[in-house]
Amino acid sequence: MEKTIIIKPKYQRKNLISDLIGITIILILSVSVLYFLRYALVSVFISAFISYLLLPVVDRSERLGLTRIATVIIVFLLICTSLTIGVVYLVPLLINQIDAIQARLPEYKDIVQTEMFYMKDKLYYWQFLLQERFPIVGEINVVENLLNSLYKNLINLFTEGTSLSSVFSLISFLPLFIFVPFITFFLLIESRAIKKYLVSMVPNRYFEVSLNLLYRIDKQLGNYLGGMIVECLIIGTLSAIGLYFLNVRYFLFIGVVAGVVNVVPYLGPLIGSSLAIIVVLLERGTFTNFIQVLILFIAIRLIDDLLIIPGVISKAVKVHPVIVLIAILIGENLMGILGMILAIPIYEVFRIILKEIQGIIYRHNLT
Amino acid sequence: MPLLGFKEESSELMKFLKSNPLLKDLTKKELRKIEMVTHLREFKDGEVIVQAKEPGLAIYIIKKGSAYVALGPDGENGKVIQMIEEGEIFGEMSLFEDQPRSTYVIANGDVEVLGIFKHDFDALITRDNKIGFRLLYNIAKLLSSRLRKVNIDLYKKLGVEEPTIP
Repeated sequence: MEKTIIIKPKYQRKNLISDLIGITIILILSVSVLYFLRYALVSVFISAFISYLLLPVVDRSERLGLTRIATVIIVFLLICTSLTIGVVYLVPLLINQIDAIQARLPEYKDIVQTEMFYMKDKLYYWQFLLQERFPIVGEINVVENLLNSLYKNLINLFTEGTSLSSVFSLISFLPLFIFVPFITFFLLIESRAIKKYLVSMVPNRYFEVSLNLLYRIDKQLGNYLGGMIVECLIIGTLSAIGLYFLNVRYFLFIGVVAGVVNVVPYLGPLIGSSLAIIVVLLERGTFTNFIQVLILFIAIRLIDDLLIIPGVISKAVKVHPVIVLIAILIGENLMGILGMILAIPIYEVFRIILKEIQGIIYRHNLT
Repeated sequence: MPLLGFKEESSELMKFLKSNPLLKDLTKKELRKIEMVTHLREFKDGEVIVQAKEPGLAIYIIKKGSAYVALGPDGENGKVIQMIEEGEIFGEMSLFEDQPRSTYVIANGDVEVLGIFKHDFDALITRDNKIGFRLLYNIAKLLSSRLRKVNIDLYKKLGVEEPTIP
């Protein structure tokens, strides 16, 4: 047993650098391929997302002793039943409210036009007062410019808004309804084989690292997504119920929107509450209505910050607000609303990967 | 219907697991649960399978071939302190302690190993009591026999006579 052998360590500076370059190229290539094919792969993305959410449910049910296929079929049946109940009871109400908003859009446009007309008078008066003290104000013509741009934007918003339901018909849901359940079904059944296949393609020296990365990313994303869904459901339900009791029209529509946009940190809650306040103002609500809605959303915000976030998402992502905002802006720039929603999870994935690489470099003094 | 053609590989794996003394007394269903979390890796001669100072994140069973265990000073030369043969496990210390790996394990010729990720192993033994008991009991037996071997080596080195059971 006194044999001596030469050991070539797993991680050396030169192979680490070439590996990093290789990984970066593979990452860039696969992200660009996915980005270019994003419209064709929409059903795959949606299926992957749904199966990722359902995976813990299927895994847990499987432990009760059922086979994988039986478990997936039972989960599918349960989802179909709850979706049918949702479609039968809630969707008609939601569609009614969307239709009602649409029917009233021209009326809202008139209201905005009249309000702007009054506002213009007032603003000109203020400009006149200012001009008397500071003659330079008159030359810039602030009010004219400001009002013109505001007016244009608002009218555009309402004209675009008229195509609200055409958006729903434009996206042809039919292929999605067929492909998504089909792909989701097989992803759920084959999830372990897919994971094994992916890991098998990783070079030996990164075998343990890759398993650990998958585990950590899965844990972090699972916590984040699970927490987010619970948070959105609570916020949406609270908003809808609160608005219903305050007699605000379209309470369900606003509740759904407030729940969905809540996914976007910081900006989401602002959009939800603004929507409710705009509806109150356009419906010529009283000042009391306005204050009530404002208090409702402040209360919901407090419940979210003090109860839901510490209780539900405390284990999940803790990212600095500035980074959150930058990530959301970049996400919005690249992929619009979807980008804003995905910004934080994608940031987290990159952070975990970079931390792992940093760990390897420091452990083996490769700097 | 296997999506990626794993069926053949999986049945061969099942045969190997069934024949392993570490997993004896387990039913086919229980072995299938273990098979689900194992990853087959192939290492070339001299390739490092486990490296000292790295976090221990997996336990391995040698499916084909053998491997050296060496301390590997500064990663240059390593004195072989033990051989691991077909069917034996290594890396098991990482399952019980959150400590970095203490030795190097290097492939002696071409080697096939089955790796099980630490957290998959934890989940497996906590969810299924019978698998958990059987696996932990057999690993404990193995650790005990390895410790006995180390003790004997130590006695020899110190020139002390081994205590004999009367």
